[in-house]
Amino acid sequence: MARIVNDVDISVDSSQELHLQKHIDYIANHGKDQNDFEYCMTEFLRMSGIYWGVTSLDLMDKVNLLNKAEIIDFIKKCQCPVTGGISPCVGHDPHILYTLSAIQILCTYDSLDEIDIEAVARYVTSLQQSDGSFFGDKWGEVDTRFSFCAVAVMTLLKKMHLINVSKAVDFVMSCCNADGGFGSKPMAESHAGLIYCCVGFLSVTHELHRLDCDKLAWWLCERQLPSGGLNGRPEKLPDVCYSWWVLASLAIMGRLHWISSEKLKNFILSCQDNETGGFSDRTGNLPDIFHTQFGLGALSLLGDHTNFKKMNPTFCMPQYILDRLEIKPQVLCL
Amino acid sequence: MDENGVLCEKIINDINAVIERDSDLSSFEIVPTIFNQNKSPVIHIEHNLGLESWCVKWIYDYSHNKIVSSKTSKQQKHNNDTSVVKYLNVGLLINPDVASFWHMRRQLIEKNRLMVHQECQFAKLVLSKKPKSSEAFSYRRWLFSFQSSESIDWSVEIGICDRCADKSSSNYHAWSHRLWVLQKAPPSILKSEIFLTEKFIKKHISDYSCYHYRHSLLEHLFEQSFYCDIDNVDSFSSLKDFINYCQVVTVSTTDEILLTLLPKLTEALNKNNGTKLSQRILQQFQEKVKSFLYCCNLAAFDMKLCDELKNLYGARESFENHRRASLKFIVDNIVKMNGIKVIDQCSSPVTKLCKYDYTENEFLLAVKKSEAMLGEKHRQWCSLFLGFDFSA
Repeated sequence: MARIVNDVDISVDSSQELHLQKHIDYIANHGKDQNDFEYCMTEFLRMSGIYWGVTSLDLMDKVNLLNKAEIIDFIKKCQCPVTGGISPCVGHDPHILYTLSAIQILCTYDSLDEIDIEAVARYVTSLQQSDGSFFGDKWGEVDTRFSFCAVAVMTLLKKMHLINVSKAVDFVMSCCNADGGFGSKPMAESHAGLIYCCVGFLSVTHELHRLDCDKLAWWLCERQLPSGGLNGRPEKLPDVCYSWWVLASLAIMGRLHWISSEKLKNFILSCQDNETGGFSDRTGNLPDIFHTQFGLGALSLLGDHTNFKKMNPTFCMPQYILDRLEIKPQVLCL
Repeated sequence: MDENGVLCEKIINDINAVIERDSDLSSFEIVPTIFNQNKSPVIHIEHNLGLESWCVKWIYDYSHNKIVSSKTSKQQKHNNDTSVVKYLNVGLLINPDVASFWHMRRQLIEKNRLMVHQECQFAKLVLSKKPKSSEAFSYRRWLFSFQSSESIDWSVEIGICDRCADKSSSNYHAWSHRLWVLQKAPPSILKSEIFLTEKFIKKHISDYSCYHYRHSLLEHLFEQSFYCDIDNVDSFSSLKDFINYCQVVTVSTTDEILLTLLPKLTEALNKNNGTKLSQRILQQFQEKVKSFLYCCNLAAFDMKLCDELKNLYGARESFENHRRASLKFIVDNIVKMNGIKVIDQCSSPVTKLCKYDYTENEFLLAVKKSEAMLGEKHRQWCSLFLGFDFSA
């Protein structure tokens, strides 16, 4: 019996051409209009927004279009003098998510020394709990995303020795489900974004042998739909950001070739906004900087090294930065 | 204050007046309105609060600025802490994602400036507008740390999860919150959860989050050695049907079911006469075995439910995945339970999956044969996830 599937129709006349210059312009101009309501509403994640913009421009070798000094100054203002953690924006509270985004930006700019690194390391260390999990901030939410953020930050800062890595691994593995996937907490539903965080975590900590790769790869391959796009969980519509989460996870496990690249590439290109530039979650919707970053990153992972620099799947940053920092996360080769 | 400020204050005060006066306020939404009709954009009808969309941008900007300036103002630290609350109310109703706004509320709770009960109400109001708000669920969990487990009405919490899941499909945060309730609430909610999740599945056949939750519920039930209503003759009918479908020899009594599923355990228990084992350990085993039968029966029921849904609606990933997860539960636990060594000191089942030679268990061989008929892809899944070897 043929399966009934939730999917999109890629319109026949949607362009299969990559509008590189349009994307460059879209990102470079993003946030120029401070009065834009959407911009104001997303202030609570500004640091991540900047990281998405910096990374995607760097991928296209155009990071010089952004004001480096201004961005570094912004990051300095966002470091909390008390806790050492970094906020998404001035006037907001620090959180491990935005601490990672800030560190990633500073690594891109080779400017880690512009902030108090020791304080950041102290902040991350203070968030680890006795079961190995990490709080997102002092208010106590636990999530495997925060485990990834913690080890990614500490690895980029070369301070991994300050956290209990073995307990951190135990906690992440306790979030592994019978279907091979991972959720946000023990017993939570397997979710491609969280799988990326857990696989990335195991890559950073060199513990990939803990994974049942065949089971997980099975689950990940089930994410590809007839349109070629990838979803994040069973029965959901495809979304371009899952092109990154799923693809990067497969790449780390040495199984990138297990999904159809041609069809996926087709889907990603159909998510471009041909007029304004940028990518939206799926064909026909409004673009945003988040989906733009992951659309471009996925195209690089799929092998386009003409238009893009090589991407590191674990850190979601251009490979040359990790090379410069001499950081080598574990990757499996089949 | 300029004209814009005066208007914003008026609207903000109107919104807060409704929140304060209507203790049964149950929903908030932004009402798409194109024109400014020169009347108040605040609508209050039968415990529903609405805000006309034309003013949202101004109100949000204004509230946001007030909140920011109150953070930096020295005066705020002295007395008028709570003056910021009316702006936080509006700011969060419009933009529930701003974590820092929620943090200010937490600080006010810690200073006893806000009351836990009212804050629970506020979080519930936010969820009516954004049923996927992870911040609102997270806030509720934090608020519960101020209350004793006995004083919390867990069925209300389940109700909130259910309504949020109903409004927004595959609502990860609602189901994840429900899992949190499952860990914290007493066993009295378990029976209704079994009923409610079946009802939800039948209403939302492609909402996989519910199927996953139901599976987690099953795992939890077995982990807690839960069972209920097992004394009547039809108690294990789904399990009986499943066994009889796979096998040539039919079973009808509970003892026959046990002998089929757990031959090694039954043999071991028969060899041990009662005087060697302590009463306590024997009773624990008996409870575990009853729960095993109850849970496997529920898993078999779900396998049949998935088949029925497929016949009604056509093949879908949800039905296929849930049937597989339920099958895996039965197979994995037959393997684990048969690995139990019945000795004096050790009363807990072996937690690691034993390397089990399936050829030794006739029933599992029968299951393997039956499942093999469901196609090549399913055989691949069985081979990968159940360790069934089809190469022979």
